Amino acid sequence: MRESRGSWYLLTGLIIGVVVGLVVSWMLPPAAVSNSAPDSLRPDYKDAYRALVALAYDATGDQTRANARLALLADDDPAGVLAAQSQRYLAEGFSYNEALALARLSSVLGEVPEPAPRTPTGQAESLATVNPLDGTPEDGLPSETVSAENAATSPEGESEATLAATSGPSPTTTLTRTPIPTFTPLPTFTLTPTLSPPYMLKNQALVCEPVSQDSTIQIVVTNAAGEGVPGVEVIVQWPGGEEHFYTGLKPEMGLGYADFAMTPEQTYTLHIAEGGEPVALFVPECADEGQRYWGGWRLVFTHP
Amino acid sequence: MSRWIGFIMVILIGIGLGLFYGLTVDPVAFVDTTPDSLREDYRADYVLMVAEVYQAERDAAAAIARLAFLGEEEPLALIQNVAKFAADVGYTAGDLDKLDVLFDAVLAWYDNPLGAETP
Repeated sequence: MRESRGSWYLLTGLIIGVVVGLVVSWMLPPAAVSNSAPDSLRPDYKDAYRALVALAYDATGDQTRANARLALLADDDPAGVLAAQSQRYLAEGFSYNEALALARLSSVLGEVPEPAPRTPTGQAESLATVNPLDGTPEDGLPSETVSAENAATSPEGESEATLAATSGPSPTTTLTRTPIPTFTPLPTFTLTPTLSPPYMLKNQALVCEPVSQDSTIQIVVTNAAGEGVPGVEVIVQWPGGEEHFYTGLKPEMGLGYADFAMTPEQTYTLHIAEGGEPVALFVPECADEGQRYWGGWRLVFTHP
Repeated sequence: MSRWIGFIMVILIGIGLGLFYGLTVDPVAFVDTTPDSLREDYRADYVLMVAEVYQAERDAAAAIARLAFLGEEEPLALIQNVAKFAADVGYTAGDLDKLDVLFDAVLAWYDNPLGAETP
C-alpha cells in the first residue's frame, strides 16, 4: 500500500529555498559596502558633507547646485537641519566660517534660485542639475544641455542625481603630472572669520501676553533684505551672570528667532556678539482689564 | 528517488527567487556608511566642492584635509581620477578648470608644505 502525499513537498521545498535566499541576501553582511549615496552616510559624515555644501555655496553663490547637493542627503527639513548644525558648530567650537556658511545657506533655502549663478568670469558655465527623481533639469536649462546626464556611470542603473552636464565637446583632462609624492601628515588649519557690519536695533516693542507665564526677550535678527539670519550669537548679561545663545534654534518661529527667559526685578543688557550697541532691558509690567502681569520684549536687529 | 530530486530542485529555484528578490527587487539599504563607499559620481562632486571652496579660500592644506574625507587615496591621485571621470561624463570647462587649479595647488603644497604659495 502506498500513501499519496500529493505535491505539497514541492511547495515546502520552494518556501525553504526562498527563505534561504532572502536570509542570504538580507542577513549576511557584504564583504564591502560600495556605491552608496550620501543619504546613507553616518550622521557625522553627513554633517561634514553638509558643511562643505554650504562652503561651496558661499564660494560660488550657486543656489541651484547647493539645493541639488543638499537633496542628496535627503533631510526632511534642510533649512532646519542646516540651522541646527550651524548652532551646534558654534556651540561646540567648530570652524566659525563653516557655521556662518551653514547659517547663510539655511537662510536662503526656499528662495527661487538665481537665474544666473555667480561664477568666475571667463568660464563657460553651463552646468545643469538633474532632478534626482525624474532626471529632468531643475534649473530650467534646455534639455539638450544635460546631454551627459546618462553618461554618469551608475552601476545599478539608477537615475539618481548626477551633477554633470555641458554642451559642446568635452575637454579632456590635462592632469598628467607624475610622480605622485608620498603622503605627508597634514597641518591643522584655522579659518579666519568673515567680518560683517554690526547689527543695529531696528525695533523694540513691548510684548504683553496674559496667557504666557514667562517674561521673555524675543530676538529677531534679519539681513538687509528682511530675512531671518540663523546662527547669530546673542549675549545677555545681568549682575552676576551672562548667557550666550544663537538665533535659529527654533526654526518654527523663524530662522532668525531666539528668545531668553527673564526673571522679574532683574535688569539685563543684551547685544549681538558680532558688534552693535547694547540694549538695556528690565521685565516690564503689563495691565489688561485690571489684571497685572509680567510682560516681555521683542527686539528686531538688522544689518543697516 | 525522483521525489527527492524534485524537492532539491524546487529548493534551488526558491533560493534563486529569494536571492533575486533580496538583491534586486528589494535590496538592503545600507545606513551609517563611510565616505569611501560613495559612488563615483558622488565622489566626483565632493571633490568638485573642495575645488570650489579652494577657489575662494586658497588654502591647499584645508583642501587636502577635506579630500581626506573620501578615504586613504592619495589626494593627487584622487583629483586625477575625478578629473578623468569628470571629463568623461561631461563636466563643464569651468568645473574642469577648478579641478585643475586644485591639482596644481595640492601639488605645490606637497612640494613645499611649509611655505608653499598656492597658485
